Amino acid sequence: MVMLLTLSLLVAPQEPASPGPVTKQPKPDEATYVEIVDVALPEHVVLEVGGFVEFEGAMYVATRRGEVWRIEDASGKQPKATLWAEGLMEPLGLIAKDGWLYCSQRGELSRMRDKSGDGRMDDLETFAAGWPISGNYHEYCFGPSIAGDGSFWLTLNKPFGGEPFGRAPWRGWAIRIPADGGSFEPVCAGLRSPCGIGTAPDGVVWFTDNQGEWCANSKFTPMEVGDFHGHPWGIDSCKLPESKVEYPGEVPSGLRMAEAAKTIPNFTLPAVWIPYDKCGRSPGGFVWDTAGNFPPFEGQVFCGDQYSSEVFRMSLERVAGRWQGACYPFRRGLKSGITRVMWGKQGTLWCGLTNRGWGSLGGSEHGLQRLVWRGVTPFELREITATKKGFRLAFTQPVNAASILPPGFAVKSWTYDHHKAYGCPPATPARTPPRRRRSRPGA
Amino acid sequence: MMVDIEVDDLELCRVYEIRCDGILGQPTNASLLHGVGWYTRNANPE
Repeated sequence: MVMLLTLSLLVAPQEPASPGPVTKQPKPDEATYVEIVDVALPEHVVLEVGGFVEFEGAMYVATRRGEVWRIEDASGKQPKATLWAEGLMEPLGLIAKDGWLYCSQRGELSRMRDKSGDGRMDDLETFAAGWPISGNYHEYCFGPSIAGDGSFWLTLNKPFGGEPFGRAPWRGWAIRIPADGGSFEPVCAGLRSPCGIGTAPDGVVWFTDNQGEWCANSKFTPMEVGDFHGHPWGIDSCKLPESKVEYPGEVPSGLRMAEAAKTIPNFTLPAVWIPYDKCGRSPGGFVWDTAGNFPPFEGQVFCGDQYSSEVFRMSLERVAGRWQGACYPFRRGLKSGITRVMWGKQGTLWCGLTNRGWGSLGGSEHGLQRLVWRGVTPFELREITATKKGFRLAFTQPVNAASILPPGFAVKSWTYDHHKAYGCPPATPARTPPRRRRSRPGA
Repeated sequence: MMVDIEVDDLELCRVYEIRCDGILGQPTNASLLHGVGWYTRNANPE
């Protein structure tokens, strides 16, 4: 495929480019702009983070070991951790609502509180239950996240490997629980390993999924009732009367992604493909920066990666009625894989860490760290948006017009195949050097 | 500051990797911190 690039600067009137060779400054470092702060805790406090929330002046951390820790002064020099609850089944989410803490367990959505005020959970209720598990180790239950209508959403991992007690329905599904609990509706099918679940500012629930079979690449996608996200593992459940998803039929392996989108009923393309090992590997939890905590990137999404121990960012736009956008590196170098992120009251980004059984970069197996904006704006590619004939690139600072020359500026593209094999290398790759540049003032 | 790129033969359902390694800041000639993004193009603006 041959592509012709035309570059045009959309700028306020700027200084003319200086004559002669351009002297490039040394490559900047992420740490100049974003500090990683570790939370030092006693050795016996093992925070394999499944979920966390700030609630009534403290941080509560649910762990994969089935505990909930209450941490006072988590941002201070001497945080104090006390065991608030234990004996839960691998909670992988934690939120607060109306005086209760809600967490997923494998087979139910629970809510908990400390009625006596003695610093320990003493009241646990089953808020909703009924989705079966086969006994496979990988049948994680992620969430909840509360949608704009007040309903609770969970994502159910499909099993990896043997199912000791037979196949269970609704695996690889998203389910919705009404605001007053008690029941659930299976609303989206075709998920694989949807570790991240969160609600956008407009109330729509999104998820991240991890590359694997029938999931060509990791991805970030909004959920609407009736969506089929591509993995056929659980589609027989579409035939059950409770299903909100039309049975998509037999899913052929090997369709090019555009063809899959055209031919498979309700097949939902992601808003953002997150290229494997280019921008993380195993995306987890995410948050929107609606408060401008990281000012140049206000409005964007910050996502933790469970393998690469980095936080990357994403920008979104609605084009022709659907969401799409881009992902970008942000901050690498955390000490373990990131499952969950959340904004702290001081505008710092809390990162909940764990890698047991999964592996990750970094030298630790678990913990809590936070990202602190240092107040200096980097020169950075802030956002890519689509135009009719190409793309618009927005930078955080003015650009030296003389520097927009090949080969320092390159575009390449690819697609994916929707198939049974694990992941998908870039299909039909195309590389295009820029051929022409045109500058003009004005925005 | 914005830069427009025009691309012939734009196709949908593709990821576009855009690298700007050579772009420098004005007036300091600062390098970009990362200078790369991956855009998922499923639809064209109307």
